This record gives sequence, structure tokens and C-alpha cells, in this order.
Amino acid sequence: MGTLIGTLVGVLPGLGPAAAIALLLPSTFHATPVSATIMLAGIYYGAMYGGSTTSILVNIPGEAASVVTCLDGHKMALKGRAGPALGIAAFGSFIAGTFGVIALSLTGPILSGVALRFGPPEYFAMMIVGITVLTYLSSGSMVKALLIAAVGLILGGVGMDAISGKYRFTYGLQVLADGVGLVPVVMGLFGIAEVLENLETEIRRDVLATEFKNLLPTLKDWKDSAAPIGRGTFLGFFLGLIPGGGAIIASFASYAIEKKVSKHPEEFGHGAIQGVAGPEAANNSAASGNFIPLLTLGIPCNAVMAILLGALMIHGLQPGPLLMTKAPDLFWGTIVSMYIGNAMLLVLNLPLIGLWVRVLKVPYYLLYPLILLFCLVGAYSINNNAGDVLIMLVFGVVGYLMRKFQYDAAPLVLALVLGPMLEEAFANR
Amino acid sequence: MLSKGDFSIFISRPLSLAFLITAALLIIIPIVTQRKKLATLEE
Repeated sequence: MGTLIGTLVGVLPGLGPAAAIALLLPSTFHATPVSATIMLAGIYYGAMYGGSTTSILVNIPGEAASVVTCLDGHKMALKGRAGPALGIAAFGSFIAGTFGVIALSLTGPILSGVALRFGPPEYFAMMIVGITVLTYLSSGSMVKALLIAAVGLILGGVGMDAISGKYRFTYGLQVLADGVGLVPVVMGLFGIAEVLENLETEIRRDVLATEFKNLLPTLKDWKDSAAPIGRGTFLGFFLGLIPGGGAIIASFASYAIEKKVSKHPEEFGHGAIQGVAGPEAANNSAASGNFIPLLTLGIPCNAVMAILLGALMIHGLQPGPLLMTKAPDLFWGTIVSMYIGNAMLLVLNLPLIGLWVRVLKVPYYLLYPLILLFCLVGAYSINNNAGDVLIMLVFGVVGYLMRKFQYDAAPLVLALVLGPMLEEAFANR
Repeated sequence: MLSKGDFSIFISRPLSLAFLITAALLIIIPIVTQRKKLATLEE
């Protein structure tokens, strides 16, 4: 289910995985933590697969990590090679995704063992690094990112102080007594703000009329793509491990490397298959790598992982080194689901390509009201409280203004999640 | 509490110190690079 929704989210331009996970988070409240995590994780790596479809066929990236796929993928499609481009993107993603999951299952237990020796000072310092790296790598000004992270930390302090039991920054408002909830904030910043921003711009979606019968890449395509897939897989995985690093950086870095090592760099930007294979492998491998800091250290390395961390906490689980011993079903269940999910995505992406092309034609005047409805119902259903809806709407407007003034929302979400953990580690040092 | 309120615990434990140095460098390096760029442009 998660991979199916993820592919849909990846295919639809204007709706990213962070927004989709935020929208669907309330629907997982009645599910078991394992099922909820599996579905939300599936949306994340499924979006990486789906994003390439729009990049290749419409020249509009379905999500940010597929921006670079437009450069050569769409050019291949214009030359009548949409099938091999889609095929190599799907196979490259599958190979990289599977490698990422194998690496996750091998390194997870080792890292958890190391992290068990961490005390509160190490956790505190590591969370500071996490926030700093994210601000360092965030789009736009670093000063703006640091400012937004500081706002996130302050928002994390709203509500009852866990140590003294006193209320902080609530200004007598009952709605703030339990703190600023992660779900309404994320729904506002990523869901409502995305809709508001997209309303301003008309997105043209001229889907290429092409035959999708020959989706299997030729032997030459495989020869040309094998090394880029290998390099993209390794690069993506290691970039995914770094807090703040992730699929977007991995795909751009892979493209730059492929262009540099190629004997024919002049072909890049004109339909080089290496420019599709490398970045697509890198973004999927990074998506798997992102789970390592979250599941073993309890540190989310990007906004999507921060939302997943919030989801786990809502389900009463604390990601970190003890997760593997306290909830082995969740850790290993998620990993097994990723093996199956990667295979499912190959099945979903290639034979169902015609369906995704039809989905691309869904008009936005139907899609956006639906997203808004999901947001409103979802925010209210968290605690059956209209206050959460209000918080979501406020953050929707804040998120829209942040986009207008080029402030990245990711540091705010990360700081909001890490704020209380940071404070606890500082107090227990 | 490990340190009984002593802040020096953050720099006396090697891993914690290494993390904090990394964080500080991540803030300082872009500032220094930007200043150097501005100085070059002014010249």
C-alpha cells in the first residue's frame, strides 16, 4: 500500500513525500506501529521511484530528488527512447534500493551496538551536529536556515516542561498546553503551503505520446548503465547516512560524477542514459541509507525522517539503539518490508506505466481540494480537537510565506522534533 | 546526571567533543568562505 501511494505521490508533480506522509499520518493511528512504519517508509522510497516517471515523460520532476533525471531522461524520451529511460530508471532504482536495504540490515546492528555506549552528552552533541548539517546543506541562506532551526527549537519548548512540570510559552492558551503538535505543523508546512504555492503557478503537463512496449533496456544500455548504477548506489548510500544528506544531494552528486568520468561528457544533457541510471540509483540508495541514523541512533537526517520519528513516537516507540532489542519486530519488519517493497515497485512501475501516465492527467482543480480535505480531516482526527486544525492552518500560511521568502522548512521540522530530545539530553548530561 | 551540572562534560568526552567541533566548523567554514569571496570581489 505504501509503495503504491509513494509511486502516486512521486508521479504527481506538486506533492512531495513529506507532504504525503504528513497527510496520511493520522490514518495510521489505529494501525500497529509496525504496519504504520512500513506504510510510511514505503511512501518515502516509493516516491523516489515514481518521481522519475514525470521527469522522463513530462520534464517536470515528480519530487525534488528527480530534478536531475529531467536533464537526460526527457531528452531520451524526445528521441523516442522513453521506454529504455523508464526501464533503466526502474531497474537502477531496484538494484540500488535492494543494496541499500542489505547494507541497512548489516550495518544497523553494528551501529546500534556502538550507539549503546553513547551517553546524554554524546546524544546532545550529535543532535547539534544533525541540526547544523541540515542547515549547512539546506537550500538558500545558511543564516536563514539557522534562524528557522532556532524557531523550531523554541516551538519544541512550547507546552508543559517535562522536568519542572510548568507551562512554557502557552500564554494561557489551552490549545498550546500539550505543545505544538508535529503532525499539524508538518501538514501545514508541507501540505497546505504546497497547495497554496502551486495555486499561483500553472503547471503545464504535456505528456509525451510514446509507445511503452519496449521498456527493457538493450544490452548496450545495460553496458553503459552498469558502472553508473554501481557508483550511484555506493555514493547514495553513504550520502544518505550523513545527517542533512539525502536523496536530492545524492542524485546531483551522482550526475556530476558521471559527467566527470564519462568519455563523452558532451552527451550529457542530450539524452545520455548514464545521466538517468546514476542519479536514479543514487536517490534510491540514499533513501535506504536515511533509515540507518533514524533506526539505530534515533536521529532523523531530513524532514521526512523527522516526520517518521514523530510517527514512531506517536505510536509509543523511541527510535534509537534500544529499538532493536525493545521492538525487534519493528526494526526487522521494516527491513523485510523494504525488500518486498523494492520488488513491488518494479512490478508497479514498469507494467503499470500506462496507468501512471493517466494519473498525470488528473486536473489540479480536483487534486488540490482533495488534499485540503485530507489535511482538515487528518488534523482534526489527531485529538478530535479544532485547535490542531487551527495550528495546521496557521503553519500553512507560515509555510507559504517561508517559501515566498526562501526559508527552508526542513530545519524547523527537524528542530521541532529534536528540541525536546535535545533538552532532555542536556538536562541529563 | 553524569556531570552534576558541569558543562565541561561536553568537551571532556572525546566523541561529544568531536561532534561539537564538527558542528562549529560547519557554521564557521561557510562564513569564512563567504567573507573571502566578498573580499576578492571588492578587490
